[in-house]
Amino acid sequence: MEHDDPKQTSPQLLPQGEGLARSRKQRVWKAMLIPGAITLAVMYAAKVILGNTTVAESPALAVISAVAIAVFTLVGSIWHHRVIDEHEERAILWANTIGFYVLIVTAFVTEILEVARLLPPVSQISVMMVAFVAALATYAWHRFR
Amino acid sequence: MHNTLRELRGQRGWSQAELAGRIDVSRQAVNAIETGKHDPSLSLAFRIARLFETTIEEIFDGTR
Repeated sequence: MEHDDPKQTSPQLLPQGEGLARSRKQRVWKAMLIPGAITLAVMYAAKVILGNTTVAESPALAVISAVAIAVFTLVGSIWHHRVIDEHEERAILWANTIGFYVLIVTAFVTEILEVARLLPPVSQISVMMVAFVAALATYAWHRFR
Repeated sequence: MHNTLRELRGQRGWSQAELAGRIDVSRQAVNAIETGKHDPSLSLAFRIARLFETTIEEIFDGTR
């Protein structure tokens, strides 16, 4: 009696179609979540090792956190760009373009109004968050419309 | 760009996710191509044409 190899005959075990799509989606999520988790783990470990301090109190913790964020954001970005498809890549390019325009406009407008004392001092993070929200909205519109 | 991808996929009884896996893109990318919101690159157009054993011109109508 002839026995077929179940790895070759069972459609559930074939690495095709929906299975490939699922593993592709997992690759994209891993590229974002693993560097993020490592960053948080490094920051938490440094905080515990340095005696449960905060970045405001400990320059060492601030430097370690800053380096961890910079390194793992860079690694995660490269990893993410290597696993996404062209549709998502185009959504990210548009998001970054719109985000950059919004950043430039917001930064100059708030700076001029600040100098004229028509606005209280605006933090860099607030300006960046406006650009980030614009980029995120553009990304979502391109990706899921 | 107008195309016959949805019809070709339907003839084989594939879901968007099934086709997405076979051409190594996301399900959203397949949906965007089918609805004409995303024009695929040349390499992706070739992958699609090879999968359906036809030519790029048979699937994509560049005039519309």
